[in-house]
Amino acid sequence: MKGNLKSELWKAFHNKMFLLALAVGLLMSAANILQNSATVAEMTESTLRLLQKDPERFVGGHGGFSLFMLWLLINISLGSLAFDFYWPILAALPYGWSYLKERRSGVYDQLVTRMGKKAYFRAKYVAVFLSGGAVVGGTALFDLLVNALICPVEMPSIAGLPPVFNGHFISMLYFRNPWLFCLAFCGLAFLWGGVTGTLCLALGTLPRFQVFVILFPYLLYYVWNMIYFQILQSFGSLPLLSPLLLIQAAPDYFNPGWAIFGVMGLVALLGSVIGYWQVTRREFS
Amino acid sequence: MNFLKLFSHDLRCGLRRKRYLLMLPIFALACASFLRVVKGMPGITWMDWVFHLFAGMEPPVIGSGEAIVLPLGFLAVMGGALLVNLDFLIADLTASGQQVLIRCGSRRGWFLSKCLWNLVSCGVYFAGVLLVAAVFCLATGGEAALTNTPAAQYWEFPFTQVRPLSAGQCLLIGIALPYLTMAALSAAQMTLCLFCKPVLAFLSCSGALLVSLYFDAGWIPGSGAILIRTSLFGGSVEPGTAIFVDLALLLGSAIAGTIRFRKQNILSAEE
Repeated sequence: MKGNLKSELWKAFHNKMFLLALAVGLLMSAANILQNSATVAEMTESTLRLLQKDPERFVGGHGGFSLFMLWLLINISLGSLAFDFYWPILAALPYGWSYLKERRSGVYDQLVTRMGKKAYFRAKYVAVFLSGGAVVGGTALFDLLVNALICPVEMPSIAGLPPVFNGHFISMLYFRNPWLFCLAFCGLAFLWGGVTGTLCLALGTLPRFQVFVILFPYLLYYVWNMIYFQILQSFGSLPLLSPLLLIQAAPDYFNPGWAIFGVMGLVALLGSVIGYWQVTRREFS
Repeated sequence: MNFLKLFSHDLRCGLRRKRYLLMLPIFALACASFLRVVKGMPGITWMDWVFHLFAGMEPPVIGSGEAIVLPLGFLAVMGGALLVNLDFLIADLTASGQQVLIRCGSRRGWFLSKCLWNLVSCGVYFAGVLLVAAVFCLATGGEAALTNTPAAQYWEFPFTQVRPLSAGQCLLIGIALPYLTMAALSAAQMTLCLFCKPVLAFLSCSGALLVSLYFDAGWIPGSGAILIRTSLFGGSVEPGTAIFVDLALLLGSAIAGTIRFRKQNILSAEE
């Protein structure tokens, strides 16, 4: 098992698609950082003007406007909008396609005769989970750290109209220890990336092209999101139950922990049970 | 194999796919969000349903901190066309498609046939969108008229100067522009598939839609389909500019694709 896992992990983290996924994620993050640097420069200029105009009344700071409002999973810049919209593709891009490719090329048959179907599935599942999680979580963490070099770091205050409010997951932590809040959501992004990547295994060998395997989680989440908003229209008030939006740290709707982990569990169940069936119960190609 | 035979082969193989039918429930889902408007408003027309699908969203105030609610129906309908046409070119570079390419004798003819097929495919897809809108219109007691009801647009877009438009204007911004934009983005995606991985081509073209929603500029490919931002509704997008951008993208994609395909290694295509 150890050897299989090691080789799967090596393949997952040493292929062009993994680098491509990282590049796309970093591009989204770069778009967010660029827009933030312009916003911060504007903010600093207006603060300096205020300081020169009336130094006695100047209380200092940016009124709560800081890194914790401009981070990728909170902000509403073009980069963060793109990340919120396309992150399922980032999760599937690194290694989600590998099962289909190995089935098509015959590598699957070779591997399974040596290690067995169950061991193959376990190794593949872990590799897909970790690679998807690394790209999605890594992009969020990278954006947080680079933004910290540019944006002012201030404790969020109610007066600064923060995007996080009562009803959001671990909202208290945002006001007490925002760094921990952001790191917790980076961890959540890692988990979301992982479980979303493994959804590709559920599709098995159904599509002819690997591009549709990569797009499958995105399409599933998109349709899920559309259906969720239709139901929301009928009921008026519902917690956020759409996985596409649950990755956000400050969505427009309240996202209690049970909704986040419930939906994540459901997605993980779908990926693992159907994926297990696809990989172990279906016949050789 | 002459060009007409090749083109008819493409039409036969490319249009007889179940995925056009699979998209119908998605169109229905996009239409369903308009039902709450229709409920309390008499005299809704077919064009209002079409306007709802291709309205897009009002330009966001960048840096205001206000939440941006993306038009899911618009993105699903426009992005769906990209998805439906994504693999036709690459499918025809593998398996039996290679035999057709060898027999047709001209790489330029082969690629131009694909470009024409793309136009027809987008037309079929677009007809599906219009058909679902018509079904919803008739089912809710609406009129099959080619004019709009400003109150319906005002309900969805309160900050836009909505006004009654003539049938010609409605056809221009409700049918011609969205179709052209769809076809142009789809052609660009097909050409990009020759240069990079199909998933990147999809991300680029669907990303163009997202960028056109975020920024209010008529020259961004994709903004032609956002009819609520056209100058007919007091927006910044001139229909003439949008048509020019779309035609330039269509033509540019065909030329770039033809040049690229002349040197393409047809044996390296992967499924």
